[in-house]
Formats: sequence, C-alpha cells, structure tokens
Amino acid sequence: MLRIAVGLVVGMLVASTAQAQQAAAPAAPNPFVFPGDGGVILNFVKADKTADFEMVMGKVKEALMKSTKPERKAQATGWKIFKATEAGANGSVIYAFVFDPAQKGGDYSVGNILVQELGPEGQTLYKTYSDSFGTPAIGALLHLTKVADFGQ
Amino acid sequence: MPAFSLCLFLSISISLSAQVAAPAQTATPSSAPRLLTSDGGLVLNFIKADRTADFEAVVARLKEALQKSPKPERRQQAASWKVYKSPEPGPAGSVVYVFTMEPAVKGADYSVSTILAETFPAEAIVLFKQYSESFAGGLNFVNLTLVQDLAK
Repeated sequence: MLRIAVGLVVGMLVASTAQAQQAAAPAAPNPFVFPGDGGVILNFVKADKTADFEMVMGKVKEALMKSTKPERKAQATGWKIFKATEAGANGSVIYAFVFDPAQKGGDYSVGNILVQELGPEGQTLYKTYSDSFGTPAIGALLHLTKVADFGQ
Repeated sequence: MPAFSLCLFLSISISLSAQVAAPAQTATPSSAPRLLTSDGGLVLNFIKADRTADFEAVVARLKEALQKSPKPERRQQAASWKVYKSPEPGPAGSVVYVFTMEPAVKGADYSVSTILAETFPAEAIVLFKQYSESFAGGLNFVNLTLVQDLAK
C-alpha cells in the first residue's frame, strides 16, 4: 500500500505544477470528455468522507437514469465505480471510475451532470462531492483506445 | 466551455498535461503471483515510448497464451481482460497502457511471466525479457471492489 501511495504522491507533485500552468490558460478542453473507446479516472477520496462520495455518486446514477437526454442514459451503461484495496496518497481511498465503453464525446464531469440534471440541488451535492476529495484529488485521468480484447 | 465547468475542474485540482501518477512497482521477472481477489483489477503499465511495439507484441502472445491454455481459468481470465493505450503521457514521457480485468477471476494469478511460461515454455524467457525491457519504470496493480454499476 505504501508503495502505491508513494508513487501517487510523485504524480501529485507533477500534477500540481501542471495545474498552476493550466490556471493561466484561457480555454482548456474538457478532460471529462472521452473521445475514444474507454476511460479511467482514479479519484482520491478522504478516508472519513467516503460515505459522502458514495452518496453523491448514488445521486449521479439516479440523475443519469432519470435524464431525458438519451446520451446521459448511454453514459450510465458503461460506467462502473470501484473501490481499490490499495490506499492512495496521504491515506486516501481510491475510487476508480471505469468507462467501458465510453460514450464517445459524452461529458462525464460529475459537476456538470449534477447541475444540469438536478439544478440547485446538484450544486449542493457538488460541494459535498468536491469536499470529499483528498490531495491530490485525482491520481490518473486516462482517455483510452482499445489495443486488445483477450476475449475476442 | 461554461465558466462553471472550468471552475469545477480547478476545484478538484485536475491537470490536463500530467494526469498519470508515477508507477509504484517495477516490472521485473518474478515468481510471485499477482492475484486479484475481488471484483476487478486495473494495471497501469508505464512503457518506454520507443518500445511500444515490443510491449504490444508480447501482449499479443499473452492473449494467445491465455486462449490456448488447457486450463479453463486461463480462458476465463481472457474473457474479461482488455488492453488500452492512453494518449496522455506517463512519467518521463512513458506511454501508459491499461489492463482492465472486469470481472476478475478471483484468486487467479495474473502474472504475465507465469502465463507465458505455462503455454510457451521454450520462449518464455525471451518473451518476458522483451516485455520487462519495454517498461520505463514499472506499474501500478490495483484490486477493485465494485461499488456501483450505474446501469443497474
């Protein structure tokens, strides 16, 4: 567990530098749009805030399934949330979002989903969600292209 | 992009250019089993940019090894093992390949060297040398427990 945590801390340092650079950039592409076959996000959640994180993700599921937009329902189809056995940086709990398949071009930003689908309630939920994150918040955000499916 | 979206991205300190944590373990030949004991697994492999062809060639043999194995659990492993490539660079300019095993075959050994040696004993050493030399630094091996399937 420690090895994972140390590795991820190194990633955090690199990410913090890049974040500072990003803040000055005028318009960045939405990283939560996955143009390829799949995607993975490793979320680092504070150990004492996992219930909050899971509660909000339950609302995201509800929002996607109740959405009148077909693309939102399609996003739910390939989206799974896992909890890692291994610890993340600074004792955080790693939650992995796996999008397989990703809905190409779909916006997987939790904040946007909550606010667009749930309005003011979504804004409150997003605060709970963002407060649940540790430092760093995200260990990896990967847009994925399939290279091999061993089952086919 | 709406200002709200940008605000959300910044509030969870995500970076656009360095989104991958450094590897926690080094890929070295080992007889130690790599077991997945829960619902799924995720492996982040950090590969030298000039060795991706070597890595992918061994991955193709790995697929063959699983599919040709006389052991039923190996074919089960193949059924849910996918390989993806990410356009986001890893540490030190490495290329990130992601293995997803979902569902995992609980208790099965996912060690690449062992799988290759079982089916291709005569070639295993050469293949694993090619495989391990393609790594820039190492890998992250994560055991995952399903928390939510947003489609169900």
